[in-house]
Amino acid sequence: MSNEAQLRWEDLARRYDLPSQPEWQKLLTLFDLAEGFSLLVLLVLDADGAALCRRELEKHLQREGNQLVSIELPTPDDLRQLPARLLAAQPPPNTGCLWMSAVEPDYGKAYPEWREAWREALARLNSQRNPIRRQFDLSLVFVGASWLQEVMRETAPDLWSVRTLVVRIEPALRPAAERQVPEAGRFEFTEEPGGGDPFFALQEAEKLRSLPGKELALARLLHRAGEGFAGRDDWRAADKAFTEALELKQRASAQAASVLATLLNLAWACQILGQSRRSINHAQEAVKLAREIGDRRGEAAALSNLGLAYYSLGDARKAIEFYEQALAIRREIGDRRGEGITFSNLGLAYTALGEARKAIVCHERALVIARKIGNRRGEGGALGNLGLAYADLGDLRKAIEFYEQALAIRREIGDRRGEGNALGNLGLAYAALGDVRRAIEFYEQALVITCKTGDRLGEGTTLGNLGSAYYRLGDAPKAIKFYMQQLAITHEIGDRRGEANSLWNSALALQMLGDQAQAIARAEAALRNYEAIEDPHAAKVRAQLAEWRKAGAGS
Amino acid sequence: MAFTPDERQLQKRLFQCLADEALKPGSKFYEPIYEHAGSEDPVVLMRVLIELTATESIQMFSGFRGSGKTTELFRLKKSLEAEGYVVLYGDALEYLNPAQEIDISDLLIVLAGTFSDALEAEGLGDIGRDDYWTRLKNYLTTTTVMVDEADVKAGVDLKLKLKTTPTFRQMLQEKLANRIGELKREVDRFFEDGVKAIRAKRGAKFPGVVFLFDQMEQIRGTLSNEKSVIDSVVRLFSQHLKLMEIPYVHMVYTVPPWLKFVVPGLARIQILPSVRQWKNDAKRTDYPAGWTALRSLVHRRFGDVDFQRFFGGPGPKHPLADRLIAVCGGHFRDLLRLLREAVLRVQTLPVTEEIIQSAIVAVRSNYLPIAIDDAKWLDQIERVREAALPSTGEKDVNRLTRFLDTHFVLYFANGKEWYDIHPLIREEVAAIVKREAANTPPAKA
Repeated sequence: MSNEAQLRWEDLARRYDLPSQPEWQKLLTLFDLAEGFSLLVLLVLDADGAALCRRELEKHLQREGNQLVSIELPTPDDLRQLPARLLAAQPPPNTGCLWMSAVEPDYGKAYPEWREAWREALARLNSQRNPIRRQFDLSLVFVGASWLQEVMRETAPDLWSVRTLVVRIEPALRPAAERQVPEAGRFEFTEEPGGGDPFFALQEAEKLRSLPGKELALARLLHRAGEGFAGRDDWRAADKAFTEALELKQRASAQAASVLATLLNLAWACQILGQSRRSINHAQEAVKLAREIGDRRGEAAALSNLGLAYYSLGDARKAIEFYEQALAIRREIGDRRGEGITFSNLGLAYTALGEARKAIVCHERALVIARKIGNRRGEGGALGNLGLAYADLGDLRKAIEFYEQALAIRREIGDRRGEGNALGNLGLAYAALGDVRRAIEFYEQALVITCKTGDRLGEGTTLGNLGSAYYRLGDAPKAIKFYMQQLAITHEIGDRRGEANSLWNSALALQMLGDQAQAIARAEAALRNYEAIEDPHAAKVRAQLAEWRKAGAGS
Repeated sequence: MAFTPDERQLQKRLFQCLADEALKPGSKFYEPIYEHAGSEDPVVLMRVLIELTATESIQMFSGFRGSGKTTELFRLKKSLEAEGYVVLYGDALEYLNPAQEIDISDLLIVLAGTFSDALEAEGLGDIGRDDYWTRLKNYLTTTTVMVDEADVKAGVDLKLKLKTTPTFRQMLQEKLANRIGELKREVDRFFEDGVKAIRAKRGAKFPGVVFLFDQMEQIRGTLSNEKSVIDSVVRLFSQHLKLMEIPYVHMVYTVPPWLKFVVPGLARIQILPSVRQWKNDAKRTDYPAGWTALRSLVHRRFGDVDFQRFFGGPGPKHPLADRLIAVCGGHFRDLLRLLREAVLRVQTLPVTEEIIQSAIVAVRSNYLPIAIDDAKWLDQIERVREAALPSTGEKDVNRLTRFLDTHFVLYFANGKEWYDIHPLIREEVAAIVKREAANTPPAKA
């Protein structure tokens, strides 16, 4: 095999990472367990995906001394002849699988012709269901793009009725920015972030700078400016303002409750900036202070924030410990709203642990509480989080249903930022369903809203998701364009995780374009960011980078 | 965590127990799911009708895809044989090409030929006379002097030609078109001779002969000729039903279920319903007998010990097994599919709730996406619990049939016929309809 071909296979193998995919494992398990006839429908993204699956399945069968026999279908006309060719096939005795693949994505130029050819072939095969079952004592694998399922169901119901398994395989190496946006219960302020003008607050603060005895007033203004910056997603400026406010408050022996409020907000800013350790320090300080002054509500908020910081570091178990402490306090003091938020946080942590059912129970509790206390914003958040949990479970249709309910509430109460979130998550769900074009429509709507509301964080995420959508459509240049826009925003607002994601994703797109050197450079930059914020994704990027370097050295 | 060899064996054993194939009488996996209290058992109804009707009758048996028609036909065979009947079985697809139009002349020839082969297979054929294929050849070549002897040989060649040579079938149809009466008499005589021969072998005391003619419902054509093939089937049953009655024989034809919609005056078709898990009320109150039958099916497939190991508790009633049963829509094929998904995904024993949920999600995804227009009709079916067929026109009937065949719509019969939609799609249908309603501007006054 030529070096180029070898590299192509290696790249494909990395993109799909089949061994890590439960659906692929399910397929191999079937080949290990099944005896006699079985009918499999394998749905893949494109011809590359089919080629890789075929190659890996061949290897798997060879281990048991079996072989894969393929009926080649290079043109729609060949596909139309499939029924006759299949019935005439006489595969050797050690055949483990009869492979029939014709994959044309629904955005391909020849899609209508291939669809018609599949329809004709399947309609003919439908009337031969029983002869086929009698004739073949092995697995028949029909391989096509995702639309093949619908075509088979409609035109070959008899054949469809005896399907053994439907398996969907998509690339595993997905752009990292395809993250879902938790709708609620992220970090907690002791008070709602102010929507005031931070520059005005700073202007006023400047007037007090040189005046002795005005430190506390100055600190209050800086705190207010910090909140204003947070509301505008300018997290570096928020960090700066909160940090100065905290120093002033501590120096001037401000009331503990006031220090606690700044500590909590500062912890939040650090979190957004990817500085989880700093965030933990501030949250721990907040817990201590709250206990000293007996502020149970503040203690619960600080514990909850501490949990979220550990959650961001990938330690969901530790996060759950803190959330549960927070929950106990909130129940004790009858803080229903806080209880709802903690349930949302617990749900997100259980999702991270892969315990989707527990996550759903938590989000359902959050929903019940929000409805009981008439917290419409919380209700929208809980619905959105339920959507995330179902998406995590793979139940995308149900996820969409929840996102739509969340969207309706957000629109009803005029929560534009939440509306953008819900639209973005709807886009992600449709992308996961393979309906990338529809996903793009949602992302575009989300982008309009995030731009209008000045939600820079959301704008960056949405640009990244648009990039990922075009990456999946194979349009690497367009994907890179969006990733670069995302990079500019994430850098500007100090969102290091977003910055790392945009760098990593553009590396993947450059790799797709064959620009190995640039891809490695971007991946290295991404890795530096991931490592700086101790993101668990760093390990994956490091491994991938090592392989690219090795491949580069080999060639 | 990797399975131990013993666990791997268990997984393999379970997977193989869940194979989807027609069960032969006496199979340890057979679960009499249609026999529970409160359900109409079409097999019992047919058996009673046969027993009550002297000498001969015509029965039509049907079911949607995956309802277990062939398995249930074998049950009918077994129960009638227990009463002393001679029951012969023929597979229409052995002789007819389901992609081609069918004519009464084809059917009569194939009926007699299949009966002849079935007699042979049951050891009742050695009756000192020609088999039907030889008689047919003689009839075609000498009696009617229509066909060149070189063109047809008796037995396999003639059968093969009928099935695989459309021009030969067409030629026969054309030449026999004006001689249907004559052909029918020939066929009747052959059946009569056959029954006489059986009597001679079995003695006069046996109650009768039953001929199960299976797979006729498969005749539906392909994309290019579906309409003409379906029209030919409709013509057969609406115009030639009388000719399909055979003297001295109880004929059981498996027919396509959509016939009940397009030929409403037809003799009653016994359709295999979905196993009823809920009552036809607004809340879909559980119907315990259906649940018991399906739980027993799962338990029987797994066996007591393996059930405990897989689900982590004794059966047949277990919450995780019940979660799969709850969404199978009373269709055992869907239930087997759900169980297979769970068995293939399991990585540690006993199975976890997450695996059960992902199995449900995987099978549900087989039903998606649902077109908006389909969702609207399905929503109506769910609300009124009737077929809600807008017309008996070809397009609507095809759509409804497709719903029933793909189990989007479930058919129930318990004294009264009613319909519902599959539990796996209820939420999706409701969501689509709601979304569409929200997107539709109110009508102008």
